[in-house]
Parts: sequence; structure tokens; C-alpha cells
Amino acid sequence: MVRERIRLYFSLIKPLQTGLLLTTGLAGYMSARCPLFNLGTLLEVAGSLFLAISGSTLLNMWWDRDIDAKMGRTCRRPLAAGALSPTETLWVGIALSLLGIGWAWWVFPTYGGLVLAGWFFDVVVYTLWLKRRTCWSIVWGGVAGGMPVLAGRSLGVGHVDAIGILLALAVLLWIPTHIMTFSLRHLEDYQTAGVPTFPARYGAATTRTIISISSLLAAVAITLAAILLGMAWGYLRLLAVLSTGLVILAVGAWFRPTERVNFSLYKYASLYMLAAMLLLAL
Amino acid sequence: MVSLTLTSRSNRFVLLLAAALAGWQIAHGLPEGTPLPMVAYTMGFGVLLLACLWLFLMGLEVLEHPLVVVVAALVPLSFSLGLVGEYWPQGMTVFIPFAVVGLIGIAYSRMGKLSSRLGVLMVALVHGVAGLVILGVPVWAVGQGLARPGVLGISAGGAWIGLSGLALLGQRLRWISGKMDDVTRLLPWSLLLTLVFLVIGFNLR
Repeated sequence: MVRERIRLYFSLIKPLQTGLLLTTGLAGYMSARCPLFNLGTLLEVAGSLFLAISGSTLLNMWWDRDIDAKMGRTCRRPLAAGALSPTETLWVGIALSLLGIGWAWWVFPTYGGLVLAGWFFDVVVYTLWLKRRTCWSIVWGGVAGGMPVLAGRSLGVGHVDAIGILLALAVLLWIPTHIMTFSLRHLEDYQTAGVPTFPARYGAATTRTIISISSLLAAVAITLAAILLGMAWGYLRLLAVLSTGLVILAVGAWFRPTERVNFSLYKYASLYMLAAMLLLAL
Repeated sequence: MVSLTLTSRSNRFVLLLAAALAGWQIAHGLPEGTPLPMVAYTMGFGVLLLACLWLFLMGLEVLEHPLVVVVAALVPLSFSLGLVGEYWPQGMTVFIPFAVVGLIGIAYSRMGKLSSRLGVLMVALVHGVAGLVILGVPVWAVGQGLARPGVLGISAGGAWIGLSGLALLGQRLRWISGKMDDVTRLLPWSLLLTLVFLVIGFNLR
């Protein structure tokens, strides 16, 4: 019974997305070259970020359960399918958020402040306020997505710096690739649920162009951050190869846009983000 | 009906492993002191790395793209260019123009500007010469005492990817009978074996 509930909650926190954001936070912290074997702080970053991100995702799921129930892609999610109680999920979401943000604040106030900002942009600005009003809400979703890496980096160096902002910008630019690809693929679903999307507002061609441009800019931001960070020459070379792969796909998707090319770009961009963050952490 | 997916979990794991090997070699195992060979090797391993990742993410459909032939030519050209630059720098004055003209020729033929026979001839010439260089230069370097016998791993890697490329070409041109799956299914393993040979060659030379 308990095991089943944990499994349901685990699927509700979108483990892949949470894992990727958590990786960016850890990479941001480790990019500061603070003693890598400061395992205690590293575990505190992992724990506090995991709780805060999971909490905000649960609150997002709780608020959007009516939308999820209308969409084929999401109607089997535990809340939409009625496998979990909304009230319980709300309280679990609030509890995880408070624990995560509180823990982060206790570790280091600047770090805690940034984690709180990420939570605020995701839950309040993106989910509660803008998601059902304008397709531009994804920009705020992107800002929220960029906060873990900025928070991690700020904890490592003790303040907000240009490298941290560039890394956050890279994640912000990656988020549209993620969300817009889904909105292209499941446009009818989103329209049925009444969620404003870029493809519905500006058309598929414009959306694909934006996806390509934002992917390119994400690669530029990460590469710049890596150079400023003084990344070892070998890792920089590897990052250049991976960035070239992203640029080729982005240009391909720009000039010969098809759903298949776009979905490939989306998948590669996620892998690229993960690989780039790992390289920054090394 | 030809299956163009790479659904097997082991195939996908093999591709990731091959990509990791290529990535490791790019990050750790290239000669820093010699700019041109380093760039050439980075390109060779880079194309192999991206090929593995794209096959992993997109499946075998990626092989249907018209530019695959051009990109595939980059692998032997890059490695052969690097080897010539490292072990026989005098040969660069001949080999760089050959590589550039060969690559442009292949790209030109893929745009339909050359007859298909001339196009095939161009591909065969570029791959043939580059393959011979990859096979021969390490043997020559060992003979001259310029490298340890481990460098022969590069020859083995070059030979293996050359054979794999021929098998794919033969299958596409129907020189080889049998289902397309028979050859393409082995592609991830073939890439891994190529990279194992190359990594051995680069690190034990």
C-alpha cells in the first residue's frame, strides 16, 4: 500500500525532468571547484533541490489535474486518473516545498533565496498565473528551470556570478525546446484542454524556428560559460563536438522542419544539456 | 519491410558505450602539441560520437539521410589526415588538397551534380585511398620505430570500419544478398569494435 503510493508520487514528480534539473543544480555547485569531496554539502544540495523541485512539480500537477484529465498524453497520470487524492497531493506538495526551501535556506541564504525564487516562478507565476492565459508563460517556466543551476553555482562561489547567469540562461533557452516540441506533437490535446500554445498562436513554422534558435543560443550560452569557467581543453573539445551536433540538428530543423527532425532535436537537446552539465561538474 | 528501429536494449547500450569511448578519447587521448592532427582526430572521433548518439536517439532512419555519405567520408579522411600530419608531415601538401577535393566531390555528387557512376567512383576513391593510409601509415610508423606496435590498433579500427562501410554499401546496392536487417543490426557492435580498436591504437602507440 505505502509502496504503491510512493510509486504513484514518484511518477507524479516527473523523475526524468526532476533528475535533469537536479543534475543542473549539482553541476552548478561542482562547477565552482569547491572541494569535490565535500560530500556533506553536495548531499545537502541534492536533498534540498530534490525536495523543492518535487514539491513544486506536485503542486503543478495538483493545479493542472483538470487539464491533464482532458489530454490523451496526461490523462493516465495518478491525479488525473483518480489514483491519488488531490487534497493529499496538495499537502504533500506543500510539505516537500517547505522542507526543500527551508533546508536550502539553512544551508546558505543566497542559495535558499534562489531555490525559493525558482519555486515561486514555477508554481505562482508559471502554473497559477500565466499557463492558462498566455503561451509566453513558458518563458517564466524557463526562468524557474534555470534557478537550480544558478542556486548551485551561487552556493559554490558564495554569490551570484556571470557564469551562473549564463548557465541559467542556457537552461532557460533549453526549456522552450522541451515544451514547444511537446506542444507541436500534442497540439490537439492542448487545444482541447484550452491551454494556449505557441503553435496555436503563431503557427508550427514559427514555433519550429523558435525551437531551432533557442537550441542554438543554449549551446552558445553553455560554451561561453565553459570558456569563462576555464574548462580543461579536452573537455572543451568534447563540448564543441556535442555543440556541433546540436547546431547541425537545429539548422536542419530550421531549414527542413518536420516533426521527426524536431523530435530528434528535442531528444538530442536533452542529452546535450545532461552531458554539458556533467562536463561542467568534472 | 525493412525495420529501421533500434529497439533492442542491448543495441542501445552498445551505442552509448561506443559514444562514451569516443567522448573519452576526445577529452583525454589526443595529442595536444600538434594542432592539425589533433583537429583531424577530434573530427574523426567527433563524427563517430555523433553517429552513435544520433543512432541511439533516432534509430537507423538517420542512415537514410542523403548527407550520411558525406559525413561518413569525414571519418576515414579525418583519421588519415591526422596520421599523415603526425607521422609524415611532408605528405600534407598532397594529402590536404586530396581530402578537400574528395570531400567536395562527394558532396557535389550527393547534390546530383555528377552521374551516379562518377559519384560511386568518387566515394570509392576517397574511401579507398584514406583507408589505405589508415591501414598503412601505422605499419610504416612501427617499421620506422616511430611508434610502438600498439598503434596497429588504428589500422585494425580503420580496416574494420572500412569493411562495415563496404557491407552497408553492398547491402544498399544489393551486392550482398539477405535482409537489410542482417547488416544494419550489427552496426552498433561494429561501431563499438571500431572504437575499441582505435582507442587501443591511440593509447598504446
